[in-house]
Amino acid sequence: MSPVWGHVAGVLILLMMFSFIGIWIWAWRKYHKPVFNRMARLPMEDEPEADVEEDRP
Amino acid sequence: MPNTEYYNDKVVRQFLLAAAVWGIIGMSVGVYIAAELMWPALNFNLPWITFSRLRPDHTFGVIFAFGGSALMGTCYYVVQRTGHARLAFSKLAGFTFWGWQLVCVLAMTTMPLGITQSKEYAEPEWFVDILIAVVWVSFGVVFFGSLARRRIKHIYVANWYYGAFIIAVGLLHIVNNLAIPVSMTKSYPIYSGVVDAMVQWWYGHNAVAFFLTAGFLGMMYYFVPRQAQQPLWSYRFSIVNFWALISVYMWAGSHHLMYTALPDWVQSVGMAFSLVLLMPSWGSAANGLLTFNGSWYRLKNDPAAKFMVMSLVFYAAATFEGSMMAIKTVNSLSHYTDWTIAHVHSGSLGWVAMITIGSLYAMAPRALGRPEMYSHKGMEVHFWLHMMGTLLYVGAMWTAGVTEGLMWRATQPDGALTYGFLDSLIAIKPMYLIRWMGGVLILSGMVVMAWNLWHTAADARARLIKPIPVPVPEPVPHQVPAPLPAAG
Repeated sequence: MSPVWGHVAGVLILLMMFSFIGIWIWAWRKYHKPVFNRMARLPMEDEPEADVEEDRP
Repeated sequence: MPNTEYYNDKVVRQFLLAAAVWGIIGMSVGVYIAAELMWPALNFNLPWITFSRLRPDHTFGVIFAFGGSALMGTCYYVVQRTGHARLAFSKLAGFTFWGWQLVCVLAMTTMPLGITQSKEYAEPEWFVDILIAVVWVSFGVVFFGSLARRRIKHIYVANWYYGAFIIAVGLLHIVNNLAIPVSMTKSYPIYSGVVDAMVQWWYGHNAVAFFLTAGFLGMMYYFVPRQAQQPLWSYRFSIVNFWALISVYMWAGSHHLMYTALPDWVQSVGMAFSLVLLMPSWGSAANGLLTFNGSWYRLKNDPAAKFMVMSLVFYAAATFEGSMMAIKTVNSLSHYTDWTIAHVHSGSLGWVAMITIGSLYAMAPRALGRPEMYSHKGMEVHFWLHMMGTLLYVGAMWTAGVTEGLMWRATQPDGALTYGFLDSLIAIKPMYLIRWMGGVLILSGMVVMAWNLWHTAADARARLIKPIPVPVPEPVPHQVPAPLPAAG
């Protein structure tokens, strides 16, 4: 097999690594915080009557 | 309010009912074939009820009929609630329900007759495969059409998983089932030899990845915060886990073909990716479990929360085990033994069935117009039957698997095998009895769930329930796509 393929594989690995790090940076940007905070609570909006707070010790 | 828009929960209720029915059918077949392994005379020398013919009925019944119905039903429920919009294309959504039921009936009746492609988890013949593709594409149209109608700009992470599940399963199904029909009931795949094996296990492994993992993670990311009544522990972490999981899973399939004619380097690629896969798997499990922080007291009285927490524990355990089993040296002991059966049932009964049952118990009252399930005690009994059954099943098969692996590789100083194959069968026979008993407990739990759902659905059957209006949120400035006006 031509050694060129080794270089192609290396470049691809670097691209994948940078994409992965890029996703972390994107996800941790302050810009997203208000939206992500709202999203994290979205499932709780469906059925407020199911919240059985009286069970809390 | 003339312009009020309502959620389409009819199709959700239909899939809920189908999941309960198929769960009982699929698991009944499983209990029967487990009994056949213990008492082989139970096949009565009838070809259509031999283990070989019924085993695909069990796997198709529980994965695609039970799991598929639960996934499609919860997917339709979640995409509406997280987008604050009614399901798109109501008639097409109805078609996906009836089409999927037809697929399941056709597959489950033709396979015992010997009409099969003999590809694991892809047994149905070409005419069923075409119908599956049509229903699946329709499912995708309804799902992505519903996303396009959403009023909440950001697409909630559960929908990312459901979307990946729909796209990947469609791709896998079509590529793996490319075949040339030679009659109404027989076709031959276009692949041959080791290429056929690799395509099959690229499909088989990713059926686990995108059907049994990504789809059910979609369920988890919505129903766990909802049941815990806590915000998702880390939303941004869920995004990183999503991209890591779907990027890595696709490349791990070759670990099913260790020590075969597959080139060695391809086997090594599968092993390496399987090890990396542990990180996103544990990331999602941790995110789900930590969401219960502040709500652990719910475990005392809430069986749905118990199912969800145990499902995440089993998810973490089964993914760790899977990564370890992909290591070549471990695989040399585990492959072809009942350890594989233990692993797959730890994943399917522990993770998949438990997150499904927990989510169905969480969703059913809302979809059926009741404040809660008919019998709280029924849910509690179901949890313990399922839990004990799973532990018996998995414990028995682990013991059997390690026993087989050690006996098969034992050699005398001169290189001769210490044990014959029959010796290993006799050694594990008690484990087959325990496995069957575990299956009976799990099946009993499913019957309790069906009884409970039937009573919870009393008002829905009498058409006394009212549709739930969509909460139309305040408009967000510069929202893209622009929010839709409420429509009846």
